[in-house]
Amino acid sequence: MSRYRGPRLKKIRRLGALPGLTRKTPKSGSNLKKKFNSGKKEQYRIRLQEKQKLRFHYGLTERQLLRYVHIAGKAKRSTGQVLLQLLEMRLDNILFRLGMASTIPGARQLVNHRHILVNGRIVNIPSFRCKPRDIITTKDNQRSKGLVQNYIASSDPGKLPSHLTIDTLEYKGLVNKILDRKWVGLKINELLVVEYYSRQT
Amino acid sequence: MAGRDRDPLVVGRVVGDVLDPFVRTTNLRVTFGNRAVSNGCELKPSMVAQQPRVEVGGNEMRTFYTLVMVDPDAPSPSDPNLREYLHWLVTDIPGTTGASFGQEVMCYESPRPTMGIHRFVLVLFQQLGRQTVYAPGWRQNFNTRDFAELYNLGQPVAAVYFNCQREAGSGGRRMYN
Repeated sequence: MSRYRGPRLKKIRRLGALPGLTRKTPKSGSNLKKKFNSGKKEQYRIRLQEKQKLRFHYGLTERQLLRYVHIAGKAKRSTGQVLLQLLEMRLDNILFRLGMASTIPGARQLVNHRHILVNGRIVNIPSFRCKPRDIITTKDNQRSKGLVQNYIASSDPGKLPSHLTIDTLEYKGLVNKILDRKWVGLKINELLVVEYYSRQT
Repeated sequence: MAGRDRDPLVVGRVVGDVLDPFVRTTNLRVTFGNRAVSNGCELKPSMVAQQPRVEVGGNEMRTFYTLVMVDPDAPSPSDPNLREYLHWLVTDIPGTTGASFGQEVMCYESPRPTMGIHRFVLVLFQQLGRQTVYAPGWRQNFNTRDFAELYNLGQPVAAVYFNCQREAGSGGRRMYN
C-alpha cells in the first residue's frame, strides 16, 4: 500500500499533535493554525479533520480506513470503539506503543525490513492484526536488536498501555488483551469518523 | 458480573444512555416485515418505514403494558442534543397480545437518520392498571426514565434495540454500499 511521504509538520499544524506521525511539535508562534481554525467550523469539516487525524496518525490510505470502518460496522458493539481497537491492534502500531520505534512510519520500516517476529515467525506486513497472547520479538541478530535498543532505552515504561507488556532485556513484547478505549494513544472523537463515512452531502 | 458485561444492552450502551439496569421478565418480539429485531442488528431505513409488528408476552390479558420507541442518538451520535427523540408511544397493550391492541398515544414516525449510526430502542413497561397517558408536547428531548417515573411504570420488563443508518450515501466514491 502507498503511504503518506510528504511534509509532516504541515499536517500537525493543521490537525494538531499526531504522536504516531512525528515527534516534532509545531512552533507555538505559528499563526497558520489560527488562520485555519478561526471562525465557525462547518459540520463536514469537523468530521473530515477528525477522519484525517486518524488516517495520518496510523498511516493509512483512505481505502484501508474505509475497509476498517466497514469491518467495524459489522460488529455488534459500538462501531467507533471497534474501529479504534482494530487500528490499535495493527503490528506497526503495537511496536510504536511498546516503544520499539519512535513513530509509526519508523515501526512500519522495521516490519517491512523483516526485523520483527510474531510468535517466532517473520512478519513483514505492517497491517498484520495482532491477537491477545501474541509475542512480538526482534530477529535474533545484532543489527535488528541494535535498531530497537535505542528506542526501548529511551522510552518511558509508565506510558506503556495496560494491554501490552515489554521485556526490555530480551526485546520482547506481549499483547495481553484487546485495549480499552481510555488507552488509545490519540485524542480523537471516533463517533465523528463514523459519521463522516455515513454522511449526507 | 461477567454476564452483565456481555448483555447486548450494556455493550450497546442502551443501559446507561436510556435505561437503568433491569431484569427482563416479559417476552418482547418486534418484527419489521419478515425481519425479527435482535439486539444490535442493523436495519435499513427502508425496512423500518412502516411500524413494526410487536408481540408482547405476559401471562394474562388483564395485565397492561406501555411500549416506547426512542432514538438516543438524534440528531447525530457525536452530539445527541435532541436525546431522546420519541418515535412511537403505545399504552394499554394487553398481555399476550400486540401493540395493535393498545392505545396509540404518539403515532409511529419512521427513522430517518442523516448522520452516523443511530440506535433505536423499544422499551416495554408493565402498567399498574389501565391509565390515561398524555402525549408529550414534542418528540425531541423525551426522557424514558422521567416518563416511567411520572406514570409509576417502574423498571422496564423488556427492551430491544437495533441500529440504523442512512442508505447509500452520496458524496464521493464508496467501496461498499
